[in-house]
Amino acid sequence: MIEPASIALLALLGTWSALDGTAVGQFLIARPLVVATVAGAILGDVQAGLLVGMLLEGVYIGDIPAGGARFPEPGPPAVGATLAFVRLGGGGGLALGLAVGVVLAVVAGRTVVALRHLNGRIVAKSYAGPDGRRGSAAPHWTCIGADALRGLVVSLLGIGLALGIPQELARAWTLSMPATSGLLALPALVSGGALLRAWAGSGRRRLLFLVGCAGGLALAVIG
Amino acid sequence: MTRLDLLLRSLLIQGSWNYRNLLGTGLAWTLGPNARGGTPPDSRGGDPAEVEPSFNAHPYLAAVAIGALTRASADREDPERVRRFRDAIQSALGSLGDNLVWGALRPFCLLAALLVGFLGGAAGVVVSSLLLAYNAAHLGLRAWGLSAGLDRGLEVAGAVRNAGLSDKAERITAAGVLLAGVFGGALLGEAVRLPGASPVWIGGGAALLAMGLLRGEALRRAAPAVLLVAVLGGFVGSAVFAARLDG
Repeated sequence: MIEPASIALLALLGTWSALDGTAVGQFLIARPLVVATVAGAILGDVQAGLLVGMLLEGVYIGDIPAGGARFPEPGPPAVGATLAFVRLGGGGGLALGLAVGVVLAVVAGRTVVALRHLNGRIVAKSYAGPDGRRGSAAPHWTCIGADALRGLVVSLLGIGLALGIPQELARAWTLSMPATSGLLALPALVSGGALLRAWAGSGRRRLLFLVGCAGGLALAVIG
Repeated sequence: MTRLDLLLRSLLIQGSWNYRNLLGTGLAWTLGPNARGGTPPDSRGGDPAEVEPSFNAHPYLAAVAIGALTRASADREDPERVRRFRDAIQSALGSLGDNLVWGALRPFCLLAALLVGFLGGAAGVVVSSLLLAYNAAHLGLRAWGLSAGLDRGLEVAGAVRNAGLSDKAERITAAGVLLAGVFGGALLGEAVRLPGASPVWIGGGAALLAMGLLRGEALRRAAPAVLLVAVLGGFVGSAVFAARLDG
């Protein structure tokens, strides 16, 4: 049973992460690694949150939000993803939680686009009054308020989805936890490869990568 | 407004980001009523694209423009010169910031945090070290940009050029490549040691990494869909396994 106070805290966390993504600060609170880990702490299972956060972060690590580019928004949905995993448990809970996270991230990304159109109308309206008086404070704060409301709605949607998944569906998943984590980490390799392509253009960089690989292997063997 | 006021306001510059004048309204709000950022004070009209000039830059490096425009206002610079400065500097602040922060610093810090988590670091350590390290650089960049703008005014372009931001981005990405290598090696070492590890799994992982390397951005956008396919595949595999047990 998830406490109502925990649900309220999760909704607040999701709202904060939505605001952090663009409107307020960009402190990295919006990243799924941070959101899911904090959500896990709120739900009393920080390791579950860290696992969800790491797997989601791997998928979205290479996003570059340059010039208002349109991307999925994985921060607020990470709240629902973590809740689903903690509530359902096991490999099935993890798989379903991540599915909630990536599907809702697409929806959340669409709401970001809609918000930016709405912001344009809010800004235009503020200059279209009878005296055409300039003033940026009112439209600016209205837009931030609209973003907070958007983040809250997306977060509540994720929480609702996470609470609505039938336990039987999670039980239908029979893979072990290590196998599940391995399977669900595979998509991160696609993002990792793409990031590496952007970073490792020259021969010297490729050599650096190989040196790093050797070090990582040694680390794994020693560990 | 004090430097601290401007720095705090700069954190909200993207609050009203929109497709009509982008950061224009956010910049006007950040500068406050005393610094108009090159906009004539008697501007009127119904379209913000006419009223509030469009402005876009990386949010962290926008602090450079905020400082310079505040200084220009205090120095009572010619509005036409201020407008030209504002138009000219935005693309440089955008591309430099995108390369340095979104393209290098942020993925580097996230990759480092993922590696710490993968190697068994405590959740609190992973998240707090990520936020502290990233935001030390983030807030430092904003504070530097604001100071450079306030000190140099409309002549700030030279300070931006001399700061070597592109070189810093290059160094961070080089460190990122090394880190990605360490992660890849550690991942491979762990995968081999996992019970039930098979060449199929490891080969599949290597194939996905290679596909990302070869197709880059085009395939990176498909990563969430690959995750959904993996989830679906896991359920199908579970159902097949259950059917075999029943049989």
